[in-house]
Amino acid sequence: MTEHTSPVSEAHSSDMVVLDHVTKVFRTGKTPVRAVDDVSLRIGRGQIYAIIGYSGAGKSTLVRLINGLESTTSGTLTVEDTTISGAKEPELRKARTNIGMIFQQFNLMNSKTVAGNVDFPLKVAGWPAARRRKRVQELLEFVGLGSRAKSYPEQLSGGQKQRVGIARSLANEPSLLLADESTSALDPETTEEVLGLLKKVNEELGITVVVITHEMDVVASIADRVAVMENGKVVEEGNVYDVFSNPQTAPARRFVSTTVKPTPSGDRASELIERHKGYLVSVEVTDHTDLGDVLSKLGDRKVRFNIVEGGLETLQGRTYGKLTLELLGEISAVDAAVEQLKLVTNVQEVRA
Amino acid sequence: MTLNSHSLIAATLEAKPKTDWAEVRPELLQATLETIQMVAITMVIAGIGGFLIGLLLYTTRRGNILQNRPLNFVLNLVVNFVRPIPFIILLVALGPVMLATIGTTIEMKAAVFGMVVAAVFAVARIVEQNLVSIDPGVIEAARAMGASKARIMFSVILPEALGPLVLGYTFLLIGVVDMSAMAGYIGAGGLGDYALSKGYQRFNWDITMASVLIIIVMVQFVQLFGNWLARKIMRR
Repeated sequence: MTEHTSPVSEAHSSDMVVLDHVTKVFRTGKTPVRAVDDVSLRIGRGQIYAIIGYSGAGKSTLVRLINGLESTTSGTLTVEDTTISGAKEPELRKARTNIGMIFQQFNLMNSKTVAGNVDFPLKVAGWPAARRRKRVQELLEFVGLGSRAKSYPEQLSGGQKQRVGIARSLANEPSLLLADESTSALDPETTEEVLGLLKKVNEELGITVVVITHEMDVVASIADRVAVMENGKVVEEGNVYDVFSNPQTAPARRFVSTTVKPTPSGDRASELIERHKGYLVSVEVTDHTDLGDVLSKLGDRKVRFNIVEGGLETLQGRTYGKLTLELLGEISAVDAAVEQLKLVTNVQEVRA
Repeated sequence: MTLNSHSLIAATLEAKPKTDWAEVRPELLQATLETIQMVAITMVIAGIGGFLIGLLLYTTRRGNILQNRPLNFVLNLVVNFVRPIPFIILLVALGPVMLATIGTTIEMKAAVFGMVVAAVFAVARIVEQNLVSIDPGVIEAARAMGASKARIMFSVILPEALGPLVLGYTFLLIGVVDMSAMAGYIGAGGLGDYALSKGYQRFNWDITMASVLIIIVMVQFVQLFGNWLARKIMRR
């Protein structure tokens, strides 16, 4: 595992979830499958923690280990002060009322109204009827569905269904919320709406959120930390900004490139070179890059420039991205300009 | 059809005895009530028992909340053992069991016993088939909320499958009416018995047809009610 920040070696009171060498082996088929393979992670209280991986990477199994829907094969897993690994069903049931969960397909009960769905976990936890009614209304207001209490799930849009799912998951005032591919079945606009709501849950209610996803955009827009999973293992873990700006492993680089365009290479580079007669360089842009200062002085050096490709992203309130510039002018002047750029940021020549 | 059987039917139609409706009407009413009684008792007992067995068949499947392969295997074996036996054979084959439990092998008590045995396993299978169609995600969500297994069974599984279950029970109820006709063989009465003994065997087509008509009307009514109820539950 590649650590971007120094790992905390001992259990910390600020940890919400701690996984210590957790492994899950499924033995249903002919050959046992190590869905989660020796994973150690700490998820801090109050964080939005993303776990990203392609389908089959083991992330959905991992999240189900956290609330005990699946049992660990070995290793220990704790949530707050409760040891989940090895716990018996009654203890798990109690622990689960403190852990909310939302799903890709929402998993609402079609036989119950919106209010009935949100009421269900309250009934499970044994709230008295009068308090339940008040709480249901309060939760529906929180997710912006105060007027849809009597609707049935089939009368709602996907985004609304997921908001009901969120209201339901928050019913028992959990300290942890697990979101399993919660936006994968939604269109981009609704995705944004649901992610905004998850952020609100985190900021206003102080609930720790674990987001399982295969979309790096989801990580970029809401997460504080990210773990990249492949073949049941966490191959890279760290601060979202650090992982995006400096991915260490091949899977992390692949995911980052879906959101932040990397330096053009291969076919993309040859195609760019073919279309532009100038010298092509890729420059990294961060909050501290004084790129504008250098670019504004290029004219003095008789060098013109065009921005031909690239993209910027805001990660944890900071800018990060890469831009490909076409530099036009005398060779010596262009060389000097590149030297100037190198003083303020990372510069890479675009080669076919 | 041979010439002989042709002429036989023609003969019976010609030799049609006069039907004394004043005498037949109370008998028909009596037979109708007997049929309703047998079907109702069977549906209540087999309906509840079959639901529980069906629920077990479903929940003991692999990956479900009461996963238990030996129990699931045994339940399947029992259901598959009883279901293929033709009802008329089951009715007489159950004789020793009837003697040991209810003390008789004839009349309505015995008929209802046989109908319950046959229906309970049919209900179990239909219930299982309807429950399999429930989205497992909904059950997973209930587990994630800390719901107990009993609560999941009766507050999630049952309401989620209620619409299709109503249709399944309607289908079965009509099958039970069919069974009740054969109960006449062990002297249980009812419309089937009446149609055979007073109608068919005495060449009285009026009585046969009247009995059939009553059964058709009853079945239509039950099916319409079942459809209406299922539609109301499923809101479509």
